[in-house]
Amino acid sequence: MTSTTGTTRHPDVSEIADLGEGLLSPSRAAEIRNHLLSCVPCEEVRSSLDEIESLLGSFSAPAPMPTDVAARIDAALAAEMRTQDRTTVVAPPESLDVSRETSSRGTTEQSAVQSAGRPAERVTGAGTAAQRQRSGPSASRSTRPSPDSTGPGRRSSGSRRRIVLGTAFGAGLLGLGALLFQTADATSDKGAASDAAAAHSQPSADSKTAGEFTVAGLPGQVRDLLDASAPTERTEGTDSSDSEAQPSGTPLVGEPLAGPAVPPCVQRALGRTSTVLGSEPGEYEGTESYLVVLPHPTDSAQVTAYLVDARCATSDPSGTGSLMFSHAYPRS
Amino acid sequence: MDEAIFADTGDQELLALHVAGEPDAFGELVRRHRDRLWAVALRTLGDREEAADAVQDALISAFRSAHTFRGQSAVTTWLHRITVNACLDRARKAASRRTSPVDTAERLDQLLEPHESAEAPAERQDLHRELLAALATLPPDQRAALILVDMQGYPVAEAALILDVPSGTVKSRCARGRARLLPLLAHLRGRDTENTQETSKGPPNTGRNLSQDPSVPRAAGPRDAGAHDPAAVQGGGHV
Repeated sequence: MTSTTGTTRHPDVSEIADLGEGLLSPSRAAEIRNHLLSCVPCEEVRSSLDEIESLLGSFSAPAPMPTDVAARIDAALAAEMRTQDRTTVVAPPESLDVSRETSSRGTTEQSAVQSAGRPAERVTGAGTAAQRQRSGPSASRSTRPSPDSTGPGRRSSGSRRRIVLGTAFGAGLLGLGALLFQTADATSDKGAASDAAAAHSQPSADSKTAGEFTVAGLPGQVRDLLDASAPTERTEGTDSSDSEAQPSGTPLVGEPLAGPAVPPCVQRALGRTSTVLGSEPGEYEGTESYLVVLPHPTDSAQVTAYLVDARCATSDPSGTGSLMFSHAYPRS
Repeated sequence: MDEAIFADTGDQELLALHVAGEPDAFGELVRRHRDRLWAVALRTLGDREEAADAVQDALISAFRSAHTFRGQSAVTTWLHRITVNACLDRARKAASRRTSPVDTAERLDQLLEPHESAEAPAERQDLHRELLAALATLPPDQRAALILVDMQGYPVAEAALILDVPSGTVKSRCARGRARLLPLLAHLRGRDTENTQETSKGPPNTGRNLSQDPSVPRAAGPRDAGAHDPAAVQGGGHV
């Protein structure tokens, strides 16, 4: 508005803008307010500034982050997690203890913060968008685009069970997890013995045919593992998620990471010491890997499944394997 | 399937879990906040790729420095601050690289929401497109303040925490930013037959070629401090 430059007595546009924000000294503010009463062009500047403000507020609710961007960021964070796993020290288990009261307080705080983001529709918009994208990150890691996650893994239940047994026998022969024999007993599948021997004698070669882990198939594979090891868990008679939340001084049942044996470098990649509910060698995205299932750190109704690069067992047994994937699933 | 796991877990607890080694906790935080971080980044940078890079850098930085979070602000504020800083760094670099912020129609279109482009009347789309183009010409500090407060609707106090400046500074940046956008409005009114009076006063063609013309809006007049910070010049009773 060049009109404001007509005479030197007009206030600056920026001063009029400052007036609107209450940034001027009381005396200067009064001067300008007075001026605006009698100066049409300056009053127009003032109303135009208001209009700019409301125009900026008139944009639609922002679109959610596009799935490709979300997937890319998830991948970058997963890579970051892998580098951290190699370098950082495992946190003590007691820090995983989360009490319910603090949880609910946190939720309230969270929703309050969200509603601070102005219109309610934005909040819900973001919420549904987030839900819509839930499948994004997992799908992005899988070569299969299909989000149908219950199908593939479950059908092969029988063969999975044998593979578990294979691991179990191997572990038993190594003298590592006495509990595992219960797994074998529970299943009492005679044919498993030969598979077990094969799995033990040639673990890496065998794992190629043993099973291919896919994100889509994991829910079924995890369930199979849990089914296979369920008797073991019951014999222990503990709620493993409770035991994990106990202070570190409390003796846990068995050794840390008791249960189906996994190579120590794979254990280290998990960054946690708790009862292994199930484990299974296989292949993930072409890489020899271990599927390991642990109790969920905070929710006893859940388990957390990890896929860990198993190559460390041969290349760097005293090192730490890299975590390739982790996800939580319902316990039953 | 996984949304229920951490449903009862607050942001701060999630961050603590992440620090404690829970591999899924940070991902949940990202899922909770990424859309709003994305909106701020996209509007601040005006470029999809730049915005994606900025949010990625920010989240990785947050992932690494989570143990430094002391809970003095909400986790969402902390994430926003890291993201806005990443955006401002990029915006300043981009400003020094580019001789003029040329905003192609396609690039601006990607900033308009898909449903908006489908449903909004053409004039409103035009208006929003020009507003975005004009925003891109603002100094990054002012741009960020306007995007947070006027566009995204964050309270001034929240924006102040995000930008790590006093509330008065946020208000001042918003005020200056709006003042700089005024010529755009003059231009829009210039097309509006009902406001002929305003049109006759406005300099011809102001903002007409806004998307190609990076210069500081002329209509703000010679007394507008222009490229340098007017707050310093005026020394008014504000920060």
